[in-house]
Amino acid sequence: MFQERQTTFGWLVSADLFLSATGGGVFLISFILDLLNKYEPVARIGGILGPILVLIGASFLVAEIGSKAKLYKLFFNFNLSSWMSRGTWILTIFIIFGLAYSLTAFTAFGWLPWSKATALGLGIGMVAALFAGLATSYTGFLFGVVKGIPFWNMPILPLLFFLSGLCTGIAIILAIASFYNTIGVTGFHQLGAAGTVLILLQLLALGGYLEIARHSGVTSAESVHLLKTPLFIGGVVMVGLLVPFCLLAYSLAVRNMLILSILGGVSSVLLLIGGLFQRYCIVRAGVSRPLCCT
Amino acid sequence: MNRSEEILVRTACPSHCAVNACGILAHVKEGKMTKLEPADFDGERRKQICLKGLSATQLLYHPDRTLYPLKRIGQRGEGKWERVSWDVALDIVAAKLKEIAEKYGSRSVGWVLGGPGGGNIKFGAYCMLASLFQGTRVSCWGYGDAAIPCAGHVMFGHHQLAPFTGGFDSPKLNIVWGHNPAETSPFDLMRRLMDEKENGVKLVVIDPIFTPTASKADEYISIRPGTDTAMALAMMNVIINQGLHDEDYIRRYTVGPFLVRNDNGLLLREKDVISGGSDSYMVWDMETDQVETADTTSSGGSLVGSYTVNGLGCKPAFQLLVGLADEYTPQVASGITEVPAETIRRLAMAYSTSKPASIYFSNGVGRNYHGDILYRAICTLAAITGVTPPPGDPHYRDPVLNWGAFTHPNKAAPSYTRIGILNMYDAITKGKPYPIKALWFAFHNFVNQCANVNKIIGELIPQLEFIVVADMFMTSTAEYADIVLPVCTFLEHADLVNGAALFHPYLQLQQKVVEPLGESKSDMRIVSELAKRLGFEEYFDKTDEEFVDVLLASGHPSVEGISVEKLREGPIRFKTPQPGAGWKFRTPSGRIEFYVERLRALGEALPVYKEPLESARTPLAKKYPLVLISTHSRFSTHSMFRNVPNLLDIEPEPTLTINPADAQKRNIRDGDMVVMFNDRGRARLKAKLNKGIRAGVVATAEGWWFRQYGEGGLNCLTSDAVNPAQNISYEPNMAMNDTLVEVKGA
Amino acid sequence: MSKRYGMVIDLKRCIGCHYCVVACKMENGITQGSWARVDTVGGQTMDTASGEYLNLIMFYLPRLCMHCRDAPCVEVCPTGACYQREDGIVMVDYDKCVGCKYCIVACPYGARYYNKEGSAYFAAERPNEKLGYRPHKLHMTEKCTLCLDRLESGKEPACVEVCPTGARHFGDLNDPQSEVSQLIARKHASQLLKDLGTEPSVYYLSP
Repeated sequence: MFQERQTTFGWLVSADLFLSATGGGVFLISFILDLLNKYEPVARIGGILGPILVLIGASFLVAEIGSKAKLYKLFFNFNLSSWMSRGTWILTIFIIFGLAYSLTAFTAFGWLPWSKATALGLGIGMVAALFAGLATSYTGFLFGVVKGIPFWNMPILPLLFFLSGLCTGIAIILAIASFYNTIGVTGFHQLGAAGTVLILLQLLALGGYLEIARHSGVTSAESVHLLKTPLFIGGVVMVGLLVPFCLLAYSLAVRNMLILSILGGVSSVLLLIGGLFQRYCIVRAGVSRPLCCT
Repeated sequence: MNRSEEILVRTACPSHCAVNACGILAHVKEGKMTKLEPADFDGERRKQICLKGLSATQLLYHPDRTLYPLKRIGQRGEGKWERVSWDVALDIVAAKLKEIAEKYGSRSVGWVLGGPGGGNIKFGAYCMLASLFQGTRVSCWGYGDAAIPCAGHVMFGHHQLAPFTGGFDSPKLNIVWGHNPAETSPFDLMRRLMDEKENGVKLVVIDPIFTPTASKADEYISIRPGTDTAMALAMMNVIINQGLHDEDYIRRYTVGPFLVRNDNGLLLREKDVISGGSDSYMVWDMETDQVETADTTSSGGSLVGSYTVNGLGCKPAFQLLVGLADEYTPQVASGITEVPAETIRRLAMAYSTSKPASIYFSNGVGRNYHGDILYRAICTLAAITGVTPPPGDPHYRDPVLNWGAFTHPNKAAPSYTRIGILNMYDAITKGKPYPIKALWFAFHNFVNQCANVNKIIGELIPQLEFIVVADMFMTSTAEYADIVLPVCTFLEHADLVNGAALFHPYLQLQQKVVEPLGESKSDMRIVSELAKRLGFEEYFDKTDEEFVDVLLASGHPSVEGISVEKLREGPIRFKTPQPGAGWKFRTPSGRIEFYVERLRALGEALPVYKEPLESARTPLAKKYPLVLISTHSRFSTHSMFRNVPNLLDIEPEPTLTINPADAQKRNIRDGDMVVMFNDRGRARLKAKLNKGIRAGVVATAEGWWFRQYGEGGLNCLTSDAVNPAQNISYEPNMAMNDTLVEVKGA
Repeated sequence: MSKRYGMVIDLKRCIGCHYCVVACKMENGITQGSWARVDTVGGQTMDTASGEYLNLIMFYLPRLCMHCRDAPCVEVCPTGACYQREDGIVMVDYDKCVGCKYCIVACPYGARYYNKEGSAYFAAERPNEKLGYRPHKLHMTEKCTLCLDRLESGKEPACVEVCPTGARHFGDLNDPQSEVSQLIARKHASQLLKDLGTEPSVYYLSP
């Protein structure tokens, strides 16, 4: 009986999903920090990491593609109705504009005729930010339009991926901050607070997603059932969300820089691992609708 | 498209399935067959081919094909071979055969010919050789298919039974009894059943397993394996008690009115009544109220009652049958078969009132120790209900080929001695009825397919001084040979082909599509070469096609005007005899003998019910509680095609079908590896849970090669028990489905 | 009006013989799997039933590409390699396919297959394979083409021709007199996953 979990997409695609979302997320947050004029040393690294992560993610996508020699066709033979086609251009535009915006923060690229302070630079940055947002969430549409897999075919999926992208994005920021140690205790507290809010929102979205999916018919319920594994419950929910939440919440009461860095660093690693596993689990739990009922 | 020219060759599959012989259109490029498809036939419906035939390309070009003669070095079964030339191989064979014939007599050399399907010339070649050599021809009917001829010979004097109970035009009811045409005969029988079902003809299927055929039934009846005779007797009970039997038919065409002596069970003859009288059978004339000979009576004779003639108490044979049927009420039969009494009663009523009703069966339902009786019971049921067409009916048709030229080419000398394959076991191990010391296996995978393989390997093979195997592959049998001769596939030589007459009344020419690969040869060519070394050259001085013409030269009206030249143009439907054209029941009495004198010593003169040798109700069941049935899969014909990638892609390994209740008791889950075993051997394979199989029964498909099991194989478990009654009727049958096993997780 | 090819499969007649599976394999030279598949509807594996005696249930469901009128695969293909002809056949343009596999995931009927192995059946290519089989596109997606080559020479698809019980009917859905149109109109033919709005060109008569 054709009610199998899909086996076409696996780790390679999950890595791409994770990296494009994280890259988009970290750029968005960095851009916001730029607008708020905060933590510039961290934001500039975040800004550049964004497009780089997306580029690395795209390389996973290229690895997944069968006929790599024909890669260029993805750009020139595009099909407007396809989210993969749209995604190709979204990522491309983001990478170009993102790099254009972020590279200006580095002296080696000072020769560029704009900077983050100029109107042009800001304009480029806004375009990049828009496409960063799209990069974070477009995979939610890519999977969301697959009618045959009810577990994916849910309106909340793009939002879930977007929130997850912001979470893992802020995790990168935290990691950079923990490493560079230039934002001070207040900075860590502010980032930590933002992080806890984002994790909470994500838990809400994830919880809502699973609960509704459980009640959206036998097939999506089967998908939810397939998530009852150590990888999801332990890896995604506990280690990837609850533990970082606790660590970050606790960090709000800590004033010791070293401990704050450690807490920040550990939380970010856990958030990142959790984000990757979350994509993988959702991708692998996709079950197709049975063709007929007995 | 392609630069090279493509040639089309029309050939035919040599009826491996023994039902159809599908026409094949082969595409050839640069001397290689690139694909094949079904060939045109008369009418679209016959343009057909099965998935095995379609995969023949992979048989033809299989890398495992044996392409060169091989001589054994090392021990038998060790797998060490030396490639030799044909000359060397055949010199060795000729020398050894002569040596053994001199030592033990020419009958000690035997040819074991397989089938069904394989082409007529292919078969004829070995018959000729065996005849000229005055060796033994081992008949393979006993490899599971002898129970039908056992019944056929004693009841009707004919080899096949199908036309006596089924295949009628416009039936009102179809009963498929222990037969799975959805897998084994889809083109003709299953298609026909589906068409008739669409026209409102009810389909009833009786089977211990809910097969694909059963899934299409209007009514599916699950029955305890090996108990079908009891059900048939109970149906007769109902029909007779309701007066729905056809008295006129019984009187005219069966031994029903013939008087049977109470003292010795023989049919009463005129010479028992008057001294100096003839052998004429006697009946009790109801008008004159005295005994008359069967030919002089006008009323036909009484069917019931008890009479005394010349001091001899006797009863009409039908009365005896009534007495037997009386014992098998639906309730009694229900206790035996585990079919509800009401179901049996209802079926009996439906069968006798919806005329004509067809009953279809095949060999599987009779593969238990007393299988021959079952077929007699079903045919008796058909006969007393007046369903069986009388002699001369155009329903009966068979092509008559010139077999004499092959089975006894030299009329001046004796021919081969025929022995059934199951009787061959004792001939080898005990020298009874006479010793067999050398065997040549042609298109027969004896070691893989025949009963009690551990005995074959442990006791039979060591006693054979010389073994030749002619085959396409290194089969389980070829592994034990001393000389392996590479045979080509049906795509590489010419032959005459026909299917089962009832379903596929055509003759076709099998044509050579490509030259034989490597050094492989057709069986006729191999035999011809060997014949030169044995002094029979003059008989083999023809090409394969010239032999086809010989076979067609029978002078019988059914094949009138058919020749190789005509067959080159396409298939030819052989002519059915005109009604009344001398077709008759070839029993001693010329009638349907549901009462068989010569089986009376064993208590089987009538189709009595006897419990299978190994059933759930025998003492052995305490140790081995599960009945093992071997099924015939759509993916193979016996062991042919089991090594073909196309089909392995769909079904990669042997499985054991088991009821979930039985599996749970043994902690077996779907997909677990399990071992089934009994005192004779074991096999390791994958479990497949199925609610459609009765509890207490397990099933597996036959044909898988030993190397495809985890360990052992199916026929390590089957028994080679010989039924003496079958030795009297025709030939003993391997009771493959009369096997008890136990199963546990591996 | 132009032709629109369609098929009607009578599930009363399908006996699960798998001849269509092999016919498709041989016609198209497919080594792993087939573009025509047969599912057993009943138990968990082939030829197994569900329910309990006297009410055992088992029937067979032949599957193939539905050649949907509103095909998800056409919609999601990033390069336009997946396209639909006017006669309804959904095809793959091998010049454009990059092998992203999105269509495989998007197809609700599991009718698209990714070719990763190549064409040889045996470990080494056999003598007839170069001459006979259609070229296979490695690392690209393949699917049922309704045997377009055969249609062009007036034959029916291989799976239709080989069916021993006559369960498959093929023809022009746009012709109200065609066998398929008549069957759909008169025998309550249904489509799989109708609510998804894919509008398949393959209809089924109930078992």
